[in-house]
Amino acid sequence: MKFKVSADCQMCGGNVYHEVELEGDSLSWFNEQLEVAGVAPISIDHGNHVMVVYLDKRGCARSSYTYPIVKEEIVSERWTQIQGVPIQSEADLIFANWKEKKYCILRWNIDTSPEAVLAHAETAKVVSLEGHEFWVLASGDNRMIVAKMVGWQRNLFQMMHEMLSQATLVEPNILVNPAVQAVLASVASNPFMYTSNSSSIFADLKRKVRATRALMLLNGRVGSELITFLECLEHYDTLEECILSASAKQIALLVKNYRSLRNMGVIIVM
Amino acid sequence: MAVISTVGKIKGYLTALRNVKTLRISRLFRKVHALALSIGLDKIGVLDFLDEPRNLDDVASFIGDVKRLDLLGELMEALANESVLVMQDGRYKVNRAEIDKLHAMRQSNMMFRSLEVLISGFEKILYELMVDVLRGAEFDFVSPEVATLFYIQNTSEVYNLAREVLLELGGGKSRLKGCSILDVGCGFGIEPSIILKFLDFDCRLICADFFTNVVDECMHYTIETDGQTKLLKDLENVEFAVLDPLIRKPFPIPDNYVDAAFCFQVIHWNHYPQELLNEIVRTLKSGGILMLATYMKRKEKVTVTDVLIKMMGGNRFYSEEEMKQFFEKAGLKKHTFFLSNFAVAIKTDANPRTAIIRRTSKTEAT
Ligand SMILES: C[S@@+](CC[C@H](N)C(=O)[O-])C[C@H]1O[C@@H](n2cnc3c(N)ncnc32)[C@H](O)[C@@H]1O
Ligand SMILES: [Zn+2]
Repeated sequence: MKFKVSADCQMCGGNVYHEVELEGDSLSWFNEQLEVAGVAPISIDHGNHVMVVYLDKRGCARSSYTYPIVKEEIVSERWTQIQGVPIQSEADLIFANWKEKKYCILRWNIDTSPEAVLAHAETAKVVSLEGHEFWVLASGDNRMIVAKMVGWQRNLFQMMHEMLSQATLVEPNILVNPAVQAVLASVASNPFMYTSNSSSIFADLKRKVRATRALMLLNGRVGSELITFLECLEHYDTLEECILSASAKQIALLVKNYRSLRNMGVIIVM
Repeated sequence: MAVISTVGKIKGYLTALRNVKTLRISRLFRKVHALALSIGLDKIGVLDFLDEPRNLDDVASFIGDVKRLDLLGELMEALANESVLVMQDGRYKVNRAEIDKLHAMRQSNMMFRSLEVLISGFEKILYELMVDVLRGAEFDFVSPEVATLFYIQNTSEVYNLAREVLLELGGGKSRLKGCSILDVGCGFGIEPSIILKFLDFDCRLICADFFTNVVDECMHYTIETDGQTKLLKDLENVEFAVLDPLIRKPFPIPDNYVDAAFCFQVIHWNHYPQELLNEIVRTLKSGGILMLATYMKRKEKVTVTDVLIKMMGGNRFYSEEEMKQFFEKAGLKKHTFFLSNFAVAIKTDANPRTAIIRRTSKTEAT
């Protein structure tokens, strides 16, 4: 299917016009996204930057964003890898502290060395290296680097960026906080599950959280993984500890529903 | 009033809700509630205990630590009225045949199935809440169990239909478009979204509820508008207010401020119905309209439906006569009632004398 896209590119300066052809998986993803969100993004390569345009159901451009792309190698500085607590991730993912030049790997099944990517991580951007696309998300000194998976559109970049910013409001150094990493890893593992109705979960990580008996009413109405997680809360002193023993899917379900669970009183923060 | 012309349509709506023609809707509701309560009693062993005839005190000491003997008495009497219990010489005995009948309806009847959340809720956990209430627990907040129940139940088709019926009764799109509307007891967000969609987003809506958690959830409810998904709180024509559940403080809304008020399935929960109505009337402009839905009883006698709501921390239901008195006292002289469930009233007076909060005792009695 062919789309006629006319939008403003901040980096080229001014209005640009493209005809973009979508087919197969990317077309069906686009349509699904349109169904769910009412808008869906199309990305257009502008050489040293990418323009992302959100189209509505009538094919009109609603908004556009640009991200710089770095294609050439930069000589790397000295980075130190630290060993973190093992955390499940279904995406290739690194957390790093730009100032301290330290990083930890949650999962990295890619030939490109982490340090080659980190060399480009001074600001948030999309990095293309050795045939892979890496998303560098930045907030303060924190960096979260994810290898883009097939089917991910750039709107997920925005979403992950937002989550990272929320996390750093609570934890200025994510490298030392495995629970925050686990929450972010679950989001990167299940990015399509995220809704804008996310919440104060980061602020509650160090607190004691308990399920109430209202949980029983949710049996059979929300995923059983989430129910199991909530039932386990009572065995842990803090939400953080329970999260560290949970699967990425469980954490993602928790993050997605956290605000509603609190508002219903299905969980209480002590 | 123009509302009269829509009655035919409403009747059509309501007939669609019936599947067993011989049973009136309110009777069906009572049967569902009787089943829920008997399941609750079964869970705590009371039904088996009642295989032998027992008096109220026997039952109270069997449950243990009962502080609300009055409520337990109402429960037993209401269940006896539904034939779930049989009363003879001041003693109650279980009627298994009737309970079996109700269980059979649970499988086959549409009304029972649409209220399955409530029935299974009693099976799962609400029986514990019931015991808590009988032992004197007070609720001036929504308990997690009840909030979760609202959360699930309030999205049901029957509710959606009934809200549209109420909007139609209030004059429908032609009257309400462009108006400012106060949604009193807005709930978790589905109701405001239905009002907005019904009016094609052409209104100013104030979503008000009595609990901060309910309002917070409502603020973060997602809605499709203009092909985009937005949170209710990000819409320019939507505002929020938290109300005092004890109605000691006025609503945070000026006098004579809104064109319409919408109050759906709320008044029977609140322990201060008169004060609640007084406040609504204060915020209404002269000529403004109140749309209210609550089940209105034939007689003032306590039913299983009353008992059920009390067991969940709510107040009780009222007869049409009682509702009329509330309205009149609040200064609403022009009102109409429909099908024992809906009421519409117009504020004729600019400054009704009752537009101040008067604290009497809890309106348990009339
Ligand atoms: C059945 S819900 C209906 C909500 C909404 N109108 C809807 O239909 O989705 C009842 C409402 O009454 C409110 N409520 C419950 N208990 C209350 C109480 N004790 N005092 C005041 N309001 C109460 C709740 O906050 C809730 O929003
Ligand atoms: Zn450009």
